[in-house]
Amino acid sequence: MEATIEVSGLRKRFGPTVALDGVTFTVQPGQVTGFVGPNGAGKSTTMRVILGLDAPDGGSALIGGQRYQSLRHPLNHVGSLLDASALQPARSARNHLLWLAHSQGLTGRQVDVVIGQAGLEKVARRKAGGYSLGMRQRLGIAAAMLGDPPVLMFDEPFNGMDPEGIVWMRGFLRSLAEQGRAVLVSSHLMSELEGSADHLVVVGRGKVIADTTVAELIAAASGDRVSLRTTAWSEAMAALTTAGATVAASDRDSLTVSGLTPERVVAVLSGAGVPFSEISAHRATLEEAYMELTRDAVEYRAAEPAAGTREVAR
Amino acid sequence: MSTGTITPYRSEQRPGRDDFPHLLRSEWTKFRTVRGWLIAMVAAVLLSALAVVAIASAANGKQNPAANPTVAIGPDGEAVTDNFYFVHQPLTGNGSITVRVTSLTDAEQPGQPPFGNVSQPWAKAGIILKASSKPGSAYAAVMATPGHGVRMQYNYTHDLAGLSGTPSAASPRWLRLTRSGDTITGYDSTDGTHWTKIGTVTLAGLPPAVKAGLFAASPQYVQGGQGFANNSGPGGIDTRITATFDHVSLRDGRPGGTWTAGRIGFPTGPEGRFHCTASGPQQPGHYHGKCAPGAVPLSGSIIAGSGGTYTVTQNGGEIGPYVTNVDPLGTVLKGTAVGLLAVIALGALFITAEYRRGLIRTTFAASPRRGRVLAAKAIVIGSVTFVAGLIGAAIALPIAERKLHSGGWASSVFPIWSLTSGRGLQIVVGTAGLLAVAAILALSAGAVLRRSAGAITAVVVLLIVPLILGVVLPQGPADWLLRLTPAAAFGLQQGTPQYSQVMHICQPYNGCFPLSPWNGFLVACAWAAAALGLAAYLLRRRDV
Amino acid sequence: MSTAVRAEWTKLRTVPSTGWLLLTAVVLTVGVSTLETVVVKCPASCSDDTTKVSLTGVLVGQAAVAVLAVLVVTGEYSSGMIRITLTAVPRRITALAAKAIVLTGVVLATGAIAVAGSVLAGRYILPGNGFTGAHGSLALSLGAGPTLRAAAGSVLYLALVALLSLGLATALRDSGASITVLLGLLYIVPLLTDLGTLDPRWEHRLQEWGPMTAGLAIQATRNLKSLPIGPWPGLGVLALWAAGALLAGGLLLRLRDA
Repeated sequence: MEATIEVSGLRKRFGPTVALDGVTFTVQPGQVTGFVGPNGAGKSTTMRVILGLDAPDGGSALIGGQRYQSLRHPLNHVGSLLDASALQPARSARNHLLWLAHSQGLTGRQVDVVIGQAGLEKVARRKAGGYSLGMRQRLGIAAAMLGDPPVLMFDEPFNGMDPEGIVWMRGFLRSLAEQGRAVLVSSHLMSELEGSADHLVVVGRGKVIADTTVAELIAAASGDRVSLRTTAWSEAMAALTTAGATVAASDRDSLTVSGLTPERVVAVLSGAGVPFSEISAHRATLEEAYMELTRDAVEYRAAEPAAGTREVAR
Repeated sequence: MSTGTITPYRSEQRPGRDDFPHLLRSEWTKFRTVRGWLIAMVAAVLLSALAVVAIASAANGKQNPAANPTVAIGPDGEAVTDNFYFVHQPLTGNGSITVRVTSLTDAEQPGQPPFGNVSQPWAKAGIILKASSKPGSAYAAVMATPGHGVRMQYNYTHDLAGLSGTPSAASPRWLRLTRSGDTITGYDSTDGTHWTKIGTVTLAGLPPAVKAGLFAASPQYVQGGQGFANNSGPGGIDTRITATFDHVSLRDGRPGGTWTAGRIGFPTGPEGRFHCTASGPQQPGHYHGKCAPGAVPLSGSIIAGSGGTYTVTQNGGEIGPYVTNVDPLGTVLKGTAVGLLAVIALGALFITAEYRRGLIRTTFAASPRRGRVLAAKAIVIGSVTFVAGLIGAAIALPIAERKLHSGGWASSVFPIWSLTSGRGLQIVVGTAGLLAVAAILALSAGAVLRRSAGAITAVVVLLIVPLILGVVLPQGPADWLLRLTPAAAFGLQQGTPQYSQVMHICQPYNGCFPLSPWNGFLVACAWAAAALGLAAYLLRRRDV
Repeated sequence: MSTAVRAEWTKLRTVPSTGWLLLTAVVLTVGVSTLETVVVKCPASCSDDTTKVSLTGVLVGQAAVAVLAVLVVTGEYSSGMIRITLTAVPRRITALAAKAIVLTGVVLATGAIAVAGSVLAGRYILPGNGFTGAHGSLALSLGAGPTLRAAAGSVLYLALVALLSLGLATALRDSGASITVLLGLLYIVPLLTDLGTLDPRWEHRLQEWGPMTAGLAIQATRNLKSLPIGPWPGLGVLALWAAGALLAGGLLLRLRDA
């Protein structure tokens, strides 16, 4: 079976809320596809529809060309982690994996393999109710790997991971892709995906906003901006604005200049006698690219914190 | 790197207070802001009321002979049994009748086992002043009973205790009734000289001449039956009483007078059981009543012996309230079980829902004194349930009673209690109280078990299953079950009047619970209190 | 299907509450039956149905069985594990059927123990209470046809109650609601019909169609004519209830989002 996920024109509403409004994308094997979007964009719903848990109002979701319901031993085809807390607290982790294995005709031996893969050997016989969030995530990963499937779907797997866990997870995802599996990882935090995802599907308000590689997305967002580090920023600002550039301060002592090439910026600053320590073509972070892209699609935005009661000395 | 100083944050909010009334308010807010719970509470009460009314409509009295039996009606409108033979003389104006009882036995011959092999403790023999021979007419009587000593009874529903012990030749009982206008006073004595007043009654509208005489009556011995699928039914055993009277004296304004034998009651109803007519000479002597073929022969005899003694024997007969076998109002009120289940579920959910979502941690972080939180929850859920139950019961009771009455259930046997009468209040307030206690029990069970399914089941098993088991177990163990479990509180819903001076089957089937209604309620409250205590202890000890 | 059944069995046996609930069912059944046989004495109640008396505990033990069946389903919904189950076994009817099969097996086994214990208690205690056959009362013996039918039928009764609970819980998905409706279905009908004189037609109707009153008719070995419904037809009524609940639950499971 070809290891792909093909989603086409999915539509779904929950009562008055439109969750999916024509979602179409494909997940290819051999790469990690990030599935990103603001809260409430429809990521979890899409995953549930792919797994046959929720029925769509329109459209289709196929795995290797087949509907999920028609797969025999589905966990051998698709492994998924939707909700790490979906556990019976009184049952041990090993037993949780055991019943899952039995449901696919697998044995306890396979259970021990994935426990090793997830690094849970020491805690496998403990009751799942006592697990920390990170341990639960690893258990969910183990469950997804039980059938050694060519297609994997993870819904917010970085949730609750400590820094060591995040690093491990990134490496794990990459290795899965290198093995030729199709990996779909959803998240709403860009910093997690940077470095692990190759391809991105960006959704907002139930629609696909972008379906490109990470490099292209960043390049599109970077534009022709120049990053500048200087301590004399007020002079730099004045000089550059006079030269026709738009300057924005992005950090305490770094500026982003748009409208001028890096060489031109160097020339202007040297001419004005403004010292600077670093200049480079700006590379937008994935976070910036994403923010720009989804600005209109964000559903929930908190109010700006109240100003005036704090004093920050400069 | 920050080189500046940041002043610590100081809140501009006014500090709140976390005393108990505010805790109550927060729990009430918790409850009323879950729309599903409010709806469920209202639905519970509505459904109960509907169920009660529906069952009342289905309780067809027209086809049930017990619904409208042929009974005499007493002076206060209640159904009464008034069947006995006696010898009497008219007593005109003020006067008295006195007698000495020297023996009271239920055996045919001395030393033999009792007639019917059972001993009816409420068999009676003594003196009576009766307004007329119409069944149901007013009377006052002083009598000796085998099981309860000397009693004074009047107007069927009233019973007062006199000397204890059974009369014998060595220890006789003197009985006296004095009439003065409409007031009758009863006395007893062991020696004929020192009299103790048992009681004084005023019987309104007594005629100038009343019948004063010697009587005896021996009601059936009743034993309960059980049956979950109608395996056996209740039965009654006929009994007999024989008493020996002497020193009979009648004092009124007129001397002399002849004793007449008389019969009260034994009506010719469709039952045919008591279809007996007087035959033989209407005078002291052997006096037989003939009864219809197939009916149990009932007879009495009043034999005038030498020296002014009278031996009075009576098979059957009874003077007292009519005690019925069924309690339609009590049965109909069991419709509240529908709402009771919902209320139990709500009580448990009020706390288990917090455990399920981890909300309980937020609660206890906000209010670390856990016992108070539990108390506040109990008060909130108990009060809401009580008020809802009060409204529901107050609406359902009059409607149900009206339906029963129009469905053929005679109001003489099954009184219609108004909402302001003692019994009406007991039913309405009692039902509301029962619901509230059940909710609190469920809350405690939920706190102890932390899972709703187990908590709800536990309370249902304690509260409802004993009623079902009570029908299946024999009388003794069934009574203990209904004394010890919270189901004792269902006694508050008894619909028929209860009389202790009549031997009757005491089963919930007959609207009769072993404990008095409010005592039963206390048992349920004790359970709730114990459960709350256990829950509070566990809450404080356990991690959350 | 066999893998689904194996998975459900693993699920059931790896959770401690299963053992506790089954133990409670046995203790309640045998306990209440023993209590009943101890207090029923012959001179007073010789005509009583001794088999039915010694099987009284079933009506209390069924509560624990019902709770177990409800939790088998609602436990998954409350923890969210149902999604995992349905990804492992996407054919939802198969998943439900697997639960039903495993549950039935477990309840049949436990029920057999509970009923056997009750009958044994009756067999040894009743003769001491006067039921020696002299007054026309039957000594209990599993070899006798009606007694065997009553005992086996009681085990089947428990299994059917479990299936009824399973179906209801699948339809309602919430443990509190499910157990409330279930206990209402079971216990309210006898409450209303035992406690007095309703219109006899209604009384008969309710007893004929109520799941518990009809189902427990299987326990009667005497006075069969006076029962509202015959033993096997009564059990059939309960089977109808269970089938209906499973049907409703299965339909809703299939149609709804997980």
